[in-house]
Amino acid sequence: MDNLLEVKDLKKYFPIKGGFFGRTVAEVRAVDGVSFSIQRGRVLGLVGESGCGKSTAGRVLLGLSPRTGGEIRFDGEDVSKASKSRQRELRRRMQMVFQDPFSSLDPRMNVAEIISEGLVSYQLCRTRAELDDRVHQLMEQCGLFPEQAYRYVHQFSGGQRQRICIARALATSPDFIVLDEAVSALDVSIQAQIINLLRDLQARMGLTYLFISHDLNIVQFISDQVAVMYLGEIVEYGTTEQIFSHPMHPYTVALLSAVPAFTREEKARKQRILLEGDLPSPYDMPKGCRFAGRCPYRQDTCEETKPAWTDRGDGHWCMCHRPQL
Amino acid sequence: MNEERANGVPAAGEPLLQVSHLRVSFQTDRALLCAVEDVSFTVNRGETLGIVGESGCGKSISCMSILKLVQGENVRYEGGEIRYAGENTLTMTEKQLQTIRGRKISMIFQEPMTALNPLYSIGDQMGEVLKLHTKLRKGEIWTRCCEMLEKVRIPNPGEVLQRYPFNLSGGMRQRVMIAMALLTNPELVIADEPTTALDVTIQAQVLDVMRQLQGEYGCSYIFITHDLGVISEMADRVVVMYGGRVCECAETDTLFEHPYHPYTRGLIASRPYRGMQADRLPVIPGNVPSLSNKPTGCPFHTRCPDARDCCREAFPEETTVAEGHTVACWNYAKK
Repeated sequence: MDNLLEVKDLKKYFPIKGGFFGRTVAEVRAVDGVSFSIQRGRVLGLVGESGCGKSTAGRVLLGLSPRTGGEIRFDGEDVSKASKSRQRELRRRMQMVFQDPFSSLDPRMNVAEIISEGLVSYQLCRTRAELDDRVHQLMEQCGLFPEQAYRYVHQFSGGQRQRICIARALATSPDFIVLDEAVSALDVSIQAQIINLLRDLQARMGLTYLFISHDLNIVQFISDQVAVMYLGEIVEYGTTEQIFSHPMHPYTVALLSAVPAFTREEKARKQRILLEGDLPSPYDMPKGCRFAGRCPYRQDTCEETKPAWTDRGDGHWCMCHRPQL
Repeated sequence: MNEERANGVPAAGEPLLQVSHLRVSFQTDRALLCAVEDVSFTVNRGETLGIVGESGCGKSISCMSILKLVQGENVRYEGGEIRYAGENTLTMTEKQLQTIRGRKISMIFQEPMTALNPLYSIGDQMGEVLKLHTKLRKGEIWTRCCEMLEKVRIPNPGEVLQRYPFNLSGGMRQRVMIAMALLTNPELVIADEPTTALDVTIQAQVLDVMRQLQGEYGCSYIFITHDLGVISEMADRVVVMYGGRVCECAETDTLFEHPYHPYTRGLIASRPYRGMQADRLPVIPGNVPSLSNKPTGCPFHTRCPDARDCCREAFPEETTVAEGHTVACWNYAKK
């Protein structure tokens, strides 16, 4: 199997400072031992509620915030062992598109400046003309008009801004893009346009995506594999078909049942499992299974021992004492 | 619970609120921008009316106009009327409006963090509603607030009343907002994107609470959202808005199974669903037009696959295509 990205036991803890000397009194385990891999040219969907650590995981992958522990292998190469210059080269091949197209673009830069920043920084174009050509080409690829290149961000709608963000991410010809809630802030009719654009670009350039989202319908449409995260851990991992048709972890089942039913048929078929309560606070983690407090199927063992991360056949992984089959 | 409503008030199913030909504009330095144009809809007693549309389609403005909450020097209520209990709320004085706001018609806003005052405890803010609208004494107010918080399934209500908004999670805050909106046993609750800021599992809890309370109190809801799934679960009837106009109105299941208007059809088609096998999503091309350069005629004609010449010239009249199902589109207009 040709894995572009392999993550082993990735950890990110945020310290909580307190006391007289600002000592670290506790830590928030935002990402706590996450392992997964993404095959070249595929899309991994990462789903979970807010605060489960899915965005942090994406940021740590790209080195946007330093990790506490674990190993990231990109194209067979251990990112942490690489030299500074090598890391910079690896980072060129990994890009990110953020959720909010309003705050992730500098209002004082025009579109051409925004898109060309990476090209200039990595010295990917030799002449000014080459740079302009490349910017125009990127804009066209993302469904923007080259004549808009010297406009500023405030002159664009949300959907167009997200196209600028995508063009910026594509500028350095990356292999891998983290899409952190890339369509969540957009209007319904615009969401579909951006999703199609992402799929077209992927097919044309053989891109690999980590698609972070809380919208399960979109994740199921775009992903090949899906990982479900809960409180810093991946609790279930499998192909889109496995996760959506035969979910095993009670949390996945509950998450799927919480998606509003649309057609009359869906409404009739659906059995709703309402989860009690909110997410527990991440610095006071339960000892056993982290989901035990909200799980409708909990038993005594769940609260005491942590379930093992096991393969339940055909690469369908699940972390639960009594997975639903 | 419902003493005052039981005697002599119309029964369920009768119109409670009628918005007709509402027109709201904003005066800017350059031009008069029309945000809501000729919008009409009715809310019946005990039903949930869903209003769907994308940002800037005028759904929030038309609903906030019901209580005249859209205010300012540049706001122009240019026409139409909003009939509630035989009176037009648009011509009411501020004083008359105060007897309705929060008492008969209340609101739930989208972002519970900004809708709640961070400087006052939950108890102060909930109590204020009752202090304004009832003659209850302090102790009674407290117990009534506790009861209401219990109804929205908040554990330890007595303790929560002493807390401040920042102590609570998003789902809890939204449930406090719901409790607050229902404290005075209103006849109509306007919920403006009440679950948009919440996670799906919390959204499911909140929707469940709202449904249960409606069963208990018999109030009507106007449910504003851009999420078709939420609308389909909550609403009895749906109004679809685009560019400040109503383009289609029908019962929920009818609308989603037999949509007529090209915009409604496009919206429904562009939504990925479970088990979808396509490579690409069907899309509505183009962008949502901004208020300052709204197209003439039917505002959707710039993105419509079936646009004709007449669409550019005038807005089509509402056509009834089936009982309780109206569409504003030239393709269905009677010659």
